[in-house]
Amino acid sequence: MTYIKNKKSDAALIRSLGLKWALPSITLILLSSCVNVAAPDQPIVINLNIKIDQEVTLKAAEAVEEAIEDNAGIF
Amino acid sequence: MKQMDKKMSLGIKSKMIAGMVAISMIAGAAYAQGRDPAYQAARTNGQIGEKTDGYLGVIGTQTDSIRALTKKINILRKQVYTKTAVSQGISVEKAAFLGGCKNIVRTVTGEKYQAPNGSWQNRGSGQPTLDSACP
Repeated sequence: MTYIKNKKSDAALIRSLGLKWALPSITLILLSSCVNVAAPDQPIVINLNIKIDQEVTLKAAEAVEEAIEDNAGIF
Repeated sequence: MKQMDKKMSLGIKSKMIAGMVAISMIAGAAYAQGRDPAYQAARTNGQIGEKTDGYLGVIGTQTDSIRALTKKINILRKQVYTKTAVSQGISVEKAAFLGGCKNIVRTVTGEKYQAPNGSWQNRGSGQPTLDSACP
């Protein structure tokens, strides 16, 4: 009962505000969804970090490998 | 007679060279392994295995001498990892982990290694299961 009553009052509010306010608000909603789509920088930066990290790991892995072969008695 | 001597000496010479080559090959193989016989035996018997963190682990209940040997080798390993970590500008744990990846790959059939989930595995004829962070 109260729910239906609230719904009715919402509709009345929209009607009272009229088309003059409804149109800008719809435009605003559309604009905000446009802004959300544009975020291209972050994934590229993360990928570069991973690549650098992999290079460091590979270089270190080679050094560790060499150290193991030089000390074969304990590995 | 002289010709015979020459032939003989040639034969002896080639045999000597072959012998020397054989000896150096055996020495080379021994150097490449270089493991203490007790350490090698414990590996082959599956009493100790290669852990993912780069150190040796004792599997189950083993004798004091095997546990002492494992501890001794792990201390020496940490020295090697620390040296490499300093020269590469990475943490000792990271160097040891990278060493663990290599150590597990180096195990031979019948030896034991630790899988990423922590369980002990027998190294089969195929590739061992490595941690996803291994290069």
